[in-house]
Amino acid sequence: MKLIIGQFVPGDSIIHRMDPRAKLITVFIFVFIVFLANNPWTYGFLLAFTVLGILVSKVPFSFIYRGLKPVLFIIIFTFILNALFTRQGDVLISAGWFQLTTAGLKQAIFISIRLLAIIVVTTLLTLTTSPIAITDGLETLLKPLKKWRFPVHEFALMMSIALRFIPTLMEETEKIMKAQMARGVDFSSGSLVKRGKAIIPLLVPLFVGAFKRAEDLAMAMEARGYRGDVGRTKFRLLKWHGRDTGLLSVLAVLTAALILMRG
Amino acid sequence: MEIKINHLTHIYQPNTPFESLALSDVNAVIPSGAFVSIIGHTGSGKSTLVQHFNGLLKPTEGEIHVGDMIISSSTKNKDLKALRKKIGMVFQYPEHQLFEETVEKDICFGPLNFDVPLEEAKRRAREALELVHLPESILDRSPFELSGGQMRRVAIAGVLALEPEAIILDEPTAGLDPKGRRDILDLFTRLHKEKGMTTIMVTHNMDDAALLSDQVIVMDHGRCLMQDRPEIVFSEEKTLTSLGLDLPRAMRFLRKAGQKLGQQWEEPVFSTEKAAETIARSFVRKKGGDRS
Amino acid sequence: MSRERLIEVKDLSFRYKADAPLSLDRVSLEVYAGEWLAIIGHNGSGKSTLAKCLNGLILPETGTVLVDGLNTRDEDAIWEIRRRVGMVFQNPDNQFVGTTVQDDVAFGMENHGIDRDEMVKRMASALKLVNMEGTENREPHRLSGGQKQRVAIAGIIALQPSIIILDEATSMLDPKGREDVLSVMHELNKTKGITVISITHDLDEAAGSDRIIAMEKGRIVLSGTPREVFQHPERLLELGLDLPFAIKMRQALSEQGIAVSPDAFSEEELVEELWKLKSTI
Repeated sequence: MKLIIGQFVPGDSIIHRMDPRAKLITVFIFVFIVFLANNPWTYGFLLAFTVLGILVSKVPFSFIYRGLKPVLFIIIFTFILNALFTRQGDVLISAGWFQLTTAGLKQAIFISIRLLAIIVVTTLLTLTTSPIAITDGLETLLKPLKKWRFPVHEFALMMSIALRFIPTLMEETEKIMKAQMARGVDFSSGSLVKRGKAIIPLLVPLFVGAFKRAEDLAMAMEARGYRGDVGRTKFRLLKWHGRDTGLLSVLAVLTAALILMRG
Repeated sequence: MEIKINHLTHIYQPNTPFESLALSDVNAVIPSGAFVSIIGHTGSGKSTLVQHFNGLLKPTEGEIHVGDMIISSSTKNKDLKALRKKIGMVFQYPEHQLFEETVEKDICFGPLNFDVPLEEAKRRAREALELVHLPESILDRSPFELSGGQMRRVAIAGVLALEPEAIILDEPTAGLDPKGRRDILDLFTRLHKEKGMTTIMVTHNMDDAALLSDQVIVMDHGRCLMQDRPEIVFSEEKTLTSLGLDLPRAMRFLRKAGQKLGQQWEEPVFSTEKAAETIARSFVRKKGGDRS
Repeated sequence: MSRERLIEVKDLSFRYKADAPLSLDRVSLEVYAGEWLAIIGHNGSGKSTLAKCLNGLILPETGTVLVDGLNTRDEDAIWEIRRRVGMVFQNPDNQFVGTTVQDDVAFGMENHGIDRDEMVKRMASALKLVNMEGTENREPHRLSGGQKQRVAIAGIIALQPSIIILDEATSMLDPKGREDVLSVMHELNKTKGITVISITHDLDEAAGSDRIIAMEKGRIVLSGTPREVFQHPERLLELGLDLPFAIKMRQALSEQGIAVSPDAFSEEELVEELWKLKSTI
């Protein structure tokens, strides 16, 4: 069985090759500075940055659109809400209770751009960075939290093992479903109660299997000398390149421009 | 029940970047009451093929005739359930499907899904347990307390309790110890002989395929390359070798011995007894020749 | 000739629960450097439990296990013991920790705090030894069972162990996967002198070992070279085991009145015997 974990689309663009830490920091800061924008110029900058990101990543628009689809509804909803309930400026269209004003339209467009920019930029992160690289980046970035006893290493290991076992468990689910279907279970029709009941013969074996796997895995890890974070070295190496500094510089310029140009 | 496969093609995840051709224009016949083995290396399409027989997969193209039912890409899902009642399926590691609190409930699960009355289901559970040689005393125990071999037999009993007309076995002995292996194979040989159950077995073990089956189907890259009696299939040494498949052990031994002894022992011989007979014949002939 | 003893097990007993019967009952055995030792027995005979005692995954209830003189009870020595005694488990999926081949091979080395430059070197050579070079970035769900087991072996080799235990490591594989794993192990045994302990149901595999131990109810009931052990075919069947093909063939031949020496226990020896018999006719 083949499937993609998350939405990662392997590629070789400069954004793909950037250090996950640089990308994580960028997305994190971007989400905040988006709120600095408040006039056409600043919103223009945000849009420009986002579109540039897509172009440089060489990820086809169709993938971006697919990532956007589930949240498109929210964007449209916010647009309508803002358009309807902002009652300042000149009236553009008016029909009974309904009124669309210039300020309302402007507000709606701006808010939508905000949302769109945030979503596209985060999608771009997951599209161009493998889940394991994101985990690595997070582990390194969160390292300072160890001082406060935050289990950074365990957290990262948990994430990577989860990533590792998603395909295995998906395969297992399919197998058990088929085995139970062969014994007459109908997963796809009947009342809600009936369908709910049909889940039990799937879930129980799946959990039993997962616990067995966890037990086996714990034993295998112990046999290979795993004893937590103590004295452990790391094979995966994150390397900071000029392009990463470049990304942060672009972000700094964008931030400065937003602050200077906002009204 | 006869199963006829006509121009069966199956494509996984069609119209996606992961589209892959799993079966391509497969034609084969499983005669009613026959024991048919399906061989081929991993990924040759064996499991995909058999999952069509009880409607777990639907053909992308082509059709399958099971008794008087016809399954094609347009068959409705609800019609497939009737098919599953007639054709039981024992998956690889079937013990992974156990989930009920007691062995009895688990064995009754299948029959009850097919609207068999509770009393009748319980009767079947006892009968199935006897078939797999487990004592009635385990009916009230949790299936998860049993040993691996016992769990597998309970799972098989759960399929037998459906009283299917044909049964599909996907590597039924995988991971068992030699005794467990013998028990399971004996069970299905017995069911086939005594009840005339149509049996379809996917296997990697050439000895099992040669010794147990009436017919052998050879799969490669989603195609059915051969279907014939084992004597004929295993005479095609070159084809099998090119597919990465072995000959049965006895045949391999005969060839090895033949080389050293200057004999052309190439006839299809599957058991050690028959191989020994072949060798003995050459010894006797030589003796006779000496005497004259 | 005295051989170097790598593992010494003395009067080892163990049970999983206080009220359970003994899983291991006063087992004593020695493992010698460079040998291939097969441990056979039906499911539940205690062979896997014994294997897990050899690298301290299970500690004895009574008795001792010494690896190179280190006691598995010694908490300071346990990690060194586990480095020296690598273990490949039955289910290929349940021991693959990394998200890619290289992450998995690195896992053991990371645990043992090996320097990164050294890791890179060892990884390359370990993957080469198991014929898996070029798969560094492959994800486990794109590997076959046999390939996953060979990656597991590479992860162990990278720790430079003296012993590798195969705990039914080939029982879930298809014939090709089994053959690949075993041929890699034979190569390691021969060229690198790595001691192999193979827990197996496959009597044909056991026939190719240097020494066999058969277990039943937590005890060692048979032990010796394959030649010695296969002198008692009835005994093996009683133990719920099978016979190697060559022994079955030998029996079939003698039933046909061909008197092959009961000493012949491999196919090659059988063929040789037949040839001798034939030339005397």
